[in-house]
Amino acid sequence: LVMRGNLQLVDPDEALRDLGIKEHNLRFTSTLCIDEAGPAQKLTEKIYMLCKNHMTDQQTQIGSDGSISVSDVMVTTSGEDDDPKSVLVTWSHQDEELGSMLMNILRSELPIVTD
Amino acid sequence: QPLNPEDKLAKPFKPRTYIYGTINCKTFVDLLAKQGISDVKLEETEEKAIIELPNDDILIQVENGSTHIMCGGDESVRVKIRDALLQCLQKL
Repeated sequence: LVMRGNLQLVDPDEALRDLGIKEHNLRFTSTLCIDEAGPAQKLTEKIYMLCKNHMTDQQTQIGSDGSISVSDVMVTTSGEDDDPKSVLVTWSHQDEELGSMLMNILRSELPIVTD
Repeated sequence: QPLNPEDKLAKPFKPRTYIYGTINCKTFVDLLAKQGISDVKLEETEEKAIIELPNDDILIQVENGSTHIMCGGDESVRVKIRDALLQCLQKL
């Protein structure tokens, strides 16, 4: 951002504000249906280990509500014990590379239910 | 001077793109059609728009300043929608 003839480094959010621009918040939620019986928690733990093993350079954690965060990408699992499970992966456009990579890992490593 | 071990481990800086602007839903639907996605239902109000793609089981919520794309696990369709949407926005 050039101000009064001087080149200044400023925080991106501040620079956008100066330009009168509001960033568009683009989010994705992709749902995978997984053919796996048993408690949802078991699948959560399996996904957690997949994330830990495949994405070693990312911070991966399980929250108290059972959701997994891989940096800023969120993964939640739900479903009754005897039913297939739903896995929701949510990320924003700025995490596109990570979200897309995680989707590919889950699709290749988990038993996906196809219509 | 040699780099200290912590600096060697630091992640490389990745510049990111900032997207902004307002989505014209009719332009967006036309762009989807060009990508081969033509089964589209558009419901528009003053505050927001809901775009449904029943064949692909996809729902897109467009509001002022934000868009949420909810879809199944088919990455190829999601990427087509993403690219059409990005064409409707400006970038920095």
